[in-house]
Amino acid sequence: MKEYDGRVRHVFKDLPLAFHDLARPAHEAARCAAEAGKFWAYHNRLFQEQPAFERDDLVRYAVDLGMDRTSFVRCLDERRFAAAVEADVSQARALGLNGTPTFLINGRPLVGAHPIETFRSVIDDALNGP
Amino acid sequence: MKRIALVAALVVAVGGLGVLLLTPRSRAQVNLSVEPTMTRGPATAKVTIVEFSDYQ
Repeated sequence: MKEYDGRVRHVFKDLPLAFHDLARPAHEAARCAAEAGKFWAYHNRLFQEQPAFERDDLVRYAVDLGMDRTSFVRCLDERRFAAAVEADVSQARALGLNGTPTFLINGRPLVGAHPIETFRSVIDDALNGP
Repeated sequence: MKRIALVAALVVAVGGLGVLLLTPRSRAQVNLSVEPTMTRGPATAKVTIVEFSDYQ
């Protein structure tokens, strides 16, 4: 989606599903990575490694990306961002969202996996709209 | 047009992101918090994609 660089803003929100028991720690870990300035690298790593999200895995990915182990472990173990993740889940619930991934493109929902052409079409409509 | 203006007003008001969810059957409006470190692209972009995803 490089062609949209500079014209589109992408906001990531956490929506760990309740029946994915390893998801919530992974989402909290990604926010620890964000605090260390490595959110997108860590985020990409999680999707590559899915679903290897045991605590040791989460720490190893952080160390691999150059984060300080002690700080990261402290952040993860004290669940520093549990409330922030829960806030995203609550906002999703308030919007009536329950499937992942859900994309809101200027408020227009696109739920589930779709071919890239579908995204292009919706984004282009939004770019060309009023 | 009205929708864009409303969203812009909310961004100013709360420093977050006002999202008006549009579906054929319903309209819901919720103010979303935006974590800058989990966002990429310019805040002034005409199109904002909010992605709710699960890593697992």
